[in-house]
Amino acid sequence: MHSSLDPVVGAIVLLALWMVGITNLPSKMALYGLQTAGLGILAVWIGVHHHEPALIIAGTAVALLKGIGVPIYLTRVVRIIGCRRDEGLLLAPPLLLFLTMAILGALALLQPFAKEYSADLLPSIGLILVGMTLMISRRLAVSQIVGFLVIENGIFYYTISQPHSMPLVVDLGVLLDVLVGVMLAGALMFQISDSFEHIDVTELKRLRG
Amino acid sequence: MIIAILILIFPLLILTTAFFASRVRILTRVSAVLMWAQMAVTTCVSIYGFTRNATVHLRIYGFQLDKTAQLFLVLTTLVTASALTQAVAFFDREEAEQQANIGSLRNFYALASLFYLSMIAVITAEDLGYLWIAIEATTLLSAPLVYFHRSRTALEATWKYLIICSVGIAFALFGTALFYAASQRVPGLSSGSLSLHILLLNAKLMPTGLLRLGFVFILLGYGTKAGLFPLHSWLPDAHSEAPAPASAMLSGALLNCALIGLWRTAGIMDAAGEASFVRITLLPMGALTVLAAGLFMLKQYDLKRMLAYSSMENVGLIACAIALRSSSGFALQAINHSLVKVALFLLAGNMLQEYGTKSIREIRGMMQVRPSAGFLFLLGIVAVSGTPPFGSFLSEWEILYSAADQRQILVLAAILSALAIAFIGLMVQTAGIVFGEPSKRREGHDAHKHATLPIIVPGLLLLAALLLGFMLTPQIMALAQGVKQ
Repeated sequence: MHSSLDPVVGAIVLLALWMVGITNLPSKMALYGLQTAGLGILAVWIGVHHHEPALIIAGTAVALLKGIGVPIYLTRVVRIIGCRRDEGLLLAPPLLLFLTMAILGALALLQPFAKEYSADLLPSIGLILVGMTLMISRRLAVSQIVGFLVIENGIFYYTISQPHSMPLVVDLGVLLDVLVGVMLAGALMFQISDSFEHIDVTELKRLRG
Repeated sequence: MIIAILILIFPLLILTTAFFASRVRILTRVSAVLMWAQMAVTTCVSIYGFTRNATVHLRIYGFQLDKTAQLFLVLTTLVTASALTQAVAFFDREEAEQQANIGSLRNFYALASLFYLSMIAVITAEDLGYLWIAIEATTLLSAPLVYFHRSRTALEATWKYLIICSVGIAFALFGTALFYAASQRVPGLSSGSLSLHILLLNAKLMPTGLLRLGFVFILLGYGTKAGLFPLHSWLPDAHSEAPAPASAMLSGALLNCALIGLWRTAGIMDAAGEASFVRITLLPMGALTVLAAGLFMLKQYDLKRMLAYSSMENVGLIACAIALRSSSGFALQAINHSLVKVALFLLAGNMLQEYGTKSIREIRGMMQVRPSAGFLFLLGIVAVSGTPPFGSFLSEWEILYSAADQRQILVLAAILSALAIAFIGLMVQTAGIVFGEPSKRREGHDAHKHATLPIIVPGLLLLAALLLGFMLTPQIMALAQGVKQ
């Protein structure tokens, strides 16, 4: 991977990190969209330089469908259900942001596994950690989906940072699965808000034991 | 190519029927018949492969019928066909009680046929990438089946199932990407590959660090999907909230798919000389799963959750077989568990309709209410806890034997005590269900007392499980031991 791309990668991780600190849902979706579109364009750039048409196609599809389509869809779902903010669970989001930054900083400075695994794993691990933080730190169902999508971005970054990207069929199959999953989760969110009159997943606890 | 079309044709016909059928009675019956036709086709294909002792090539890139796939193709089809046959009586009654209508059933059958096809894709996938896509597709296609009854609890179960499994499987995708990265570091294979046979051929040349990290992530991912402890929290919810035919498919067929994913990856690790790494990661997880499931079963109040935890127990045993690389233990345990658990879930579906509740405290006295079904349920519980003369005794013996053979004394002790706990838990609960005193309001409601239709399929499945205990012929052993990859 070209080292002149490091600022781009850093910006993508920072955009994800920013998502941890905000509660406004539409702006969170916008940040996700920016970050994913950035990843898609990065993939296209790498594809052009390595002469890999597969990566160009996959990158374009990711930028358009996941970077633009998914945020628009989720923002609409959230608007129809009628919730704009997602307050933090246990920790206030700004506080959580500092905590996550500290963890990512420690990861980047100490590089605990740098001997065994190459450094290109770092941004992916960072994105996956941020995604997991997003998933477990919020109340609303939609934040779990966004967290999942950020985790998925981390994995996508790892595949494009390798000398060769995944085969095109695999990339597109994964993209299709993710899109269908998001559609399904959106439909389920409507059902949850209809029958429970909220989409607070911490209140879903009828099934136990 | 012809074989691939043959395998696809009947499920696609069910899909078409689901689009055009206008009456419930026609839809359920036609689908059941078509699924048995599919059973005949897959059996013929697998016998063709087995007698020639070779992989059947489907001539579709990335998919093939190796010996593992031949065996599990037939098993998955048998499970689906049994579930859809029992569904005839089940959904007739649901319709009569206005729990289901033609609209919801058309959805159900369309999704069930696609779900079946996605499981076939998992089984036949020869490429780790395709395997991942197919496993994620099984989650997406089966989640709406769990939400069939549209109740609040079903909604909760569906949401947890979709989110927990999707995130879990996302880790498996990361693991797959790490395997792909490892394959790119093999000299002469710079473009990398995810094809199983190429990975197996070059396993020794791949960097072990990446392989180990990849395996850990794949273990987390497919382990979530299989319901390994402590990643199992979605499993009892989804299996107990789904309607009986869907529960049977989830438990009897889908869990096997996730375990096949683990089996194939563990095979690559084995070829790379990392069998000991698989053992130290997967074996404790499998043993803990058996133990945790046994403890959960002891204090269970819900019939279908009890059966779901029993599935988890079996998944733990199969995971141990995978970690010990015991192909006969893996295959036989999977077959026995599928046969018996499908029978039990289908019987439980009838009992739920009969009693109108899932609570074990209220389901009492099956022997008086429905004698034949009660007897079969008792037999099924005996079989699922690994008691002779059922086949599951032999397969559990096989797994325990290989654990002892590889000097895994701690694991052996854990599994044995867990099996004892699970046996006690199951027996205590079942005694009340089968022999207890039926509650008063059940009296005078015995129109279905001697109905034979709902017990034919579970009865035949249990008979097959019993025969496997008596007739472990060299052919069947060869079949099980052929599951090498």
